Amino acid sequence: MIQLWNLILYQPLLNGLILLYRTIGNLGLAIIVLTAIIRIILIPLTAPSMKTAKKMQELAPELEKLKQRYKNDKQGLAKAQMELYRQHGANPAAGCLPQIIQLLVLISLYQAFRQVLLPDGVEMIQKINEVLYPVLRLPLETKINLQFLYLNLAKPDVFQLPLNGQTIPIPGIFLMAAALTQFLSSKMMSPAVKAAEKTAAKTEEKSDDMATMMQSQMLYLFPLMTILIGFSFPSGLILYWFIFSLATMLQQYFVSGLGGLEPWLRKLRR
Amino acid sequence: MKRLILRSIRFYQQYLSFDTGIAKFLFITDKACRFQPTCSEYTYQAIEKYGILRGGWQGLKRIVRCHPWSKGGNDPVK
Repeated sequence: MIQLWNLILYQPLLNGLILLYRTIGNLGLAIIVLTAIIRIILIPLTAPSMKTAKKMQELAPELEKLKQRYKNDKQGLAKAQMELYRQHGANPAAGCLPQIIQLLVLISLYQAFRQVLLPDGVEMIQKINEVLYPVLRLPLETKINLQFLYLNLAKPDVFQLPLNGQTIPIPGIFLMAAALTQFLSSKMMSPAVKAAEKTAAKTEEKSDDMATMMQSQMLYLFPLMTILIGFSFPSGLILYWFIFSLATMLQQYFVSGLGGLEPWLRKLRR
Repeated sequence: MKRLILRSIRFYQQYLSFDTGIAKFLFITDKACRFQPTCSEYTYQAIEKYGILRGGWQGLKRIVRCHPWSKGGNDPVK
């Protein structure tokens, strides 16, 4: 099972990364390009569920009515809901399989980046060479260039701010950007969350309530977690995370517009 | 053992899944499953009814069936 994983996901990705690194000569750019390529390949898997998200927002009022009508009949509600989606052609959820594949790809990508983002050394090159296809193998004395703009990609993206003789760590530009894009893209999704909040208030189902509560908390919790994790993670991985969320946000924008961000922007323009 | 697995499915549904949990925020999906009941709920019911092996296998088959080219729709545990 693990071998299969290595063969079809991890190995090609790591090879792709090294190939890009050798052609571009900059590891940071290689990470950006590879992440972008993978995101583009994954579009057919992610697009349908995003489209549904938009349809669901439009259908929210009708769903509300259904929920009122089938207050105490969960089975009936589920059926009526399916029927509603079918009528409006909203089912194109991508399905569970693509989601799982997507998850596996992203984990492998993370593993590939992590493997390269180690302090240099013969041992590390040997380890990478084990996975590389023969054409791409690196000479043992290779030093991977970890410099990208101001970042050392193997070290966390953290500034040390001197204050009264002590230093206070503050998150760097890319770390902040990663957290911000993550926040903005979940904010774009949030009309759906708001609609669900209203419904949850009306239904007596406890789990429903829990789920919506968690969703509105996560809007803030996740970016915070990103920053916390970022304090100790190699900045190369943060770069990956940033590009990944940025791609999600762009895709989201092209499929369903600004969503929950719109009221904010209107306020800003005034 | 069976109870442990069923419990963990419930845990997944509440906190991790693509529909309501963490994954929703990583991938910004709103609804992942094409079927009703969802794959995880289907597996839950199947394991409850047929046991870990047979029920689990049925759940696995269901997940493989759940892709963009399938029709989706109503598909309860038989």
